[in-house]
Amino acid sequence: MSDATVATRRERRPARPGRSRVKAITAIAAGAVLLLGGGTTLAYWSTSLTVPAGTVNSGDLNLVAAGEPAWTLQGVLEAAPTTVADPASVLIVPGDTLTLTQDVTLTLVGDTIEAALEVADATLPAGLDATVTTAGADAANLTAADNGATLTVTVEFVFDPATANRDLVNTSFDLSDVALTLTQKGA
Amino acid sequence: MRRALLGVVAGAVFALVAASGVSAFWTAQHVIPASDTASGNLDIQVAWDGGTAWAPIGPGTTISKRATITFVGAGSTLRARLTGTATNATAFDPHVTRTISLDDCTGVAGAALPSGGYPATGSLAPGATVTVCVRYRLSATAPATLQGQNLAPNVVFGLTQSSTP
Repeated sequence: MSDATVATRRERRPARPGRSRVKAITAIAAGAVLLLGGGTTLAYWSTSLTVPAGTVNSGDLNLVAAGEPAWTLQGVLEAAPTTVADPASVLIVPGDTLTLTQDVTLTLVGDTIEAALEVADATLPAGLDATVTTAGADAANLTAADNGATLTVTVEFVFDPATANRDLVNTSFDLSDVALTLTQKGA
Repeated sequence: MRRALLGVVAGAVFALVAASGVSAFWTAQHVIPASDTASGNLDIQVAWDGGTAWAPIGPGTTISKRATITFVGAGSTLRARLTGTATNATAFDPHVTRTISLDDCTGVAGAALPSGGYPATGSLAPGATVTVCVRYRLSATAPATLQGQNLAPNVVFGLTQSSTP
């Protein structure tokens, strides 16, 4: 037989494009049944009453920087840190501590609102360690009573004093990933 | 059939999420506009007066060479101390005296370079230069077997970042 005469049963069968659609609809219907959970039935009698409940307002959660960030630099030989106008203007060496201080003002409005202020540690390059502290309120347990409060966040970047030989000389460090996050507590 | 199965699974997942609630609450974020910072540098340069070739040494004589060491570095808080060590061929050890002193080799030897680093108190800032004189003195009683041997003088200078005042 030639190729033109050899036709499989499938090829001879008329196309039925609606078949797969039917399957899909059936599947969605099955999901919907699961969603309903089988706990309800079709309605019979019903009535409704509109309760004059008035309006309710949502609260607010926010934090904004209060003032500009301040930087200081302290070497291992120095008794006190010195102010740095721009961290890009200094060249750090092992043992140095570059400190960032930033005030933030909180907005916490809500009868039941509770939140925590955290600092997402920067993705620090090798050789730098960071520690974060806050002052002014209990950053882990903030409530509406802290609405309008100003917290001072301090991030200390320490150039590992164990850096030996001439490791990491003339290296650029990106500190741009420091983020303060105020998150409503859910549990 | 596969579509039907996927549909059932999707429906079940949707039902599960609807039954268990959601996880998102309010959150606000402030990114501190931190910029880059950079590390400094610490390096050393040594300039030998008259090059690195030494004059021949004989019993009872001293050969010397002046070196000027420059602290090549950069760093807002960088300070360092200078150390130096002189060695030679082992065969000469019992008969050679080596010194590295703080003078320019034109007169009496100055103070020895402190083993803990120069300066003993305080430290050097980038750009500082230190002149030292390296001397090898062969004993007058050195044996004739050293005659024609290579003294192989070797001097190592180092700058170490100061960690103490």
